[in-house]
Amino acid sequence: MDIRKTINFSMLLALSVVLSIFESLIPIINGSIPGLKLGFANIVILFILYRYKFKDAIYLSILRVILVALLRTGFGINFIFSLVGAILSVSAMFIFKKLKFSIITVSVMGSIFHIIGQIITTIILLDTFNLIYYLPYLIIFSVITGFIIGVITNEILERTKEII
Amino acid sequence: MQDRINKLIWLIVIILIIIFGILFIKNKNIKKEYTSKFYYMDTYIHVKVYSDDFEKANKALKEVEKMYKEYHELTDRYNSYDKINNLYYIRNNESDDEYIKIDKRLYEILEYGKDAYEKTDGLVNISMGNVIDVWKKYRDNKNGIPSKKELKKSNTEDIDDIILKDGNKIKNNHVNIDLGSISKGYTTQKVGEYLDKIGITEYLINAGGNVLVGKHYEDSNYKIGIEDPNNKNDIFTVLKGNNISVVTSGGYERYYEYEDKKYHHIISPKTLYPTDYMKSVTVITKDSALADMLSTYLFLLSIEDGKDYINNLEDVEAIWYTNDDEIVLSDGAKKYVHK
Amino acid sequence: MFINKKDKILIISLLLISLFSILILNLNQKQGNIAYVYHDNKLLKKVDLNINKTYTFDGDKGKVIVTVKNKKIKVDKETSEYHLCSKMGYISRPHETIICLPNKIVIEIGGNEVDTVVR
Repeated sequence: MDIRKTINFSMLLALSVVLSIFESLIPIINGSIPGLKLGFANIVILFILYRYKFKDAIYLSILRVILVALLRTGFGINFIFSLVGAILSVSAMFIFKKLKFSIITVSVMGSIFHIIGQIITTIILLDTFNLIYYLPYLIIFSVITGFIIGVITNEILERTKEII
Repeated sequence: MQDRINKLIWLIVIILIIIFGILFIKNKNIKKEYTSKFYYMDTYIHVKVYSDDFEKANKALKEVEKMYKEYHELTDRYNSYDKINNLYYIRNNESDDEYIKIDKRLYEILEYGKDAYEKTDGLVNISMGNVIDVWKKYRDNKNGIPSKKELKKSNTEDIDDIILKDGNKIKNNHVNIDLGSISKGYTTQKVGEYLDKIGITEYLINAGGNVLVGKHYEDSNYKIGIEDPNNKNDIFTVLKGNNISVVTSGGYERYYEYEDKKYHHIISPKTLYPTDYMKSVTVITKDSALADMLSTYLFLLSIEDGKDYINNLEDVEAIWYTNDDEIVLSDGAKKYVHK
Repeated sequence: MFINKKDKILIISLLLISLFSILILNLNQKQGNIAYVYHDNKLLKKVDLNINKTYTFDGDKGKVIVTVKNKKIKVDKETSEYHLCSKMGYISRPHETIICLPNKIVIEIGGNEVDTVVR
C-alpha cells in the first residue's frame, strides 16, 4: 500500500478515536440510552467514504471501535453494540451513497443506523424490548446531528481537495 | 431507476401517513387518568378515574376522598369526632336515652352487618368487638395468646344486642361493634355507585386490597393481580374483568408469632380463635360490600364448605390459596383468570 | 451538497414518522404500576410503584439503591464510575427504562400487565 495512504489513514484513525472519546464525555440525557452520542467521529468515517473507498471506511470504523475499547470502555456490552452500530452505520451510508443521495442524507442515515444498531443490540443483550419506544426521539435527534455532521464533512471535503 | 425509487418513497410515505392517521384517530378517544391516594380505615386507598373532563374528574376524586373519610369516622371504634355519632359513640356515650341517634349511613351499614350475620350463619359477626379487642391486646404485646376462658368471658355481646329503629336510631346497649369485616367493601361499593351516578363509568379503586373496577378505559379488561401469600411483591395470578369487585382475605398480612405459631387477625366467632383453613381466599363479584363480606366468610370456612357455598351462588366466584400452596377455583372462576 | 428532491422526501418522511410515533406514544398517559428490575436479564423483583419504598440490589460492580416515591422510581446510588444511572432521575411512564450498564441492572416500567394488586 501507498505509504502516504498509510500515514493518512493512521492520522484519520487517531482522529476518529480522539473524537469518539471526546464526544463520549458529553453526556446526552445522562446516559439513559446507552451509546447515544453527537456523532463527531462520523465526520472521519464519512470523509473516508467519500475520499476513499467503502472497504477503507469499514476497516477504519472497526479499528476505531477496538481502539476505543482498549483505551476506555473495555470489551463489555459497550464494545459489542458500538461495533454493531459502526458496521451498520458504514454499510447504510455506503448504500445510500450508491443510491445517489446527497452527503447530508448519507450522514443522516449513518447516524440513524448507528443508533438503531446500538439500540437493537442492547435490546437483544439485555432483553429490554422497551427501549424500542425511544426510537422516534432518536430518529429526530439523528436527523439533526446527521445534518450538521454532513455539512461539516462536506466543507472539509471541499477544502482538502488538494491536500489529502 | 431514480424515478422508480422516488415513486417507491412516495408510496411508502403515503402508506405510513395513512396508518398513523388511523392510529391517531383511534387513540383520540383515550381518556386521561386522574389519580388520588389517601389513608383511611387503616389502609392506603388508591383511586383512579378516567375522564376527558378535567374538572369533573378532580371534583369526583375530592368527593370520593370525602366519602372514605366520612365512613372512616363513622366506623372508627377508637376515636370520637365532634358531632359524629359513630361506633365509638355507640360504645362510650353517656346519654340516658333508651335509643340514641346515629348517622343514617352508619345505620345502613349496621343493617347490612346484621343481614350478613344471617347470611353467613353467624361467621360474619359485627358484635365481636370485645373478642377482637382481647386479641388486639395480645397482638400488640406479642407475649402470648389469650386463653379460651378469657375469650369466652369477653364474649358478652351478640348480634341481637344491636337493635335498630326508625332508620336512624339504635338501642343504647353500648355494644362493642367492629365493622372491620365489611366497612371497606361497603364504602367502596357506595363510592362506585356515586361515580356511576355522576357519569364516571371508568374507574379503579383499591382500598387496601379491596378492589372495585368500572368499565375499562380502553374497551379491554382491567388486570388485577393477587398477591402471593408466600411472597410479598409477587403475584400468583392475574385476574381480568370489568365492573367487578375483587377482595382477598388472608392471614399473611396482619399476624404475630408466638412460640413458633402464627396468629392472624381474622377471628372465628365460633371458636374465638383465628382459623387455619387456608392462606388466602379471593372473592370476585359485582358488589364490593358482598365481596368483602364473603371473603371474610369464606376465610372462616373450610375450603370444601366454601366451595359448596360459592358454587351454589350465582354471579360470585372465588379462588383459594391453600396451605399446601395450591390454587383452588370455584366452578365459574376460570373466566376471570388471565394468567 | 446538492440536496435533491429525493433527499428531501426521505428526510421529511422520517421526521413525520417519528413525530407521529411520539404523538401516539404520548397519548397513552397512564402511569405504570409495576417496575421490573433485572440483573443480567434475570428478573430480580417486581416492584409495586404504589408503595413508597427503598430497595437494594446487587449489581456487577456493587450495590445499586433504588427508591420508589409517588409512583416514580429512580436509582439513588450506584457503584459505578460515572454514576450515569442515578443522574437519570425518575421514570414513571410505561415502557420507560433505566439502564445501568456497568452493573447490568435494568429497570423497566411495565406496560399494562396489571392495573392494580390485591393484597
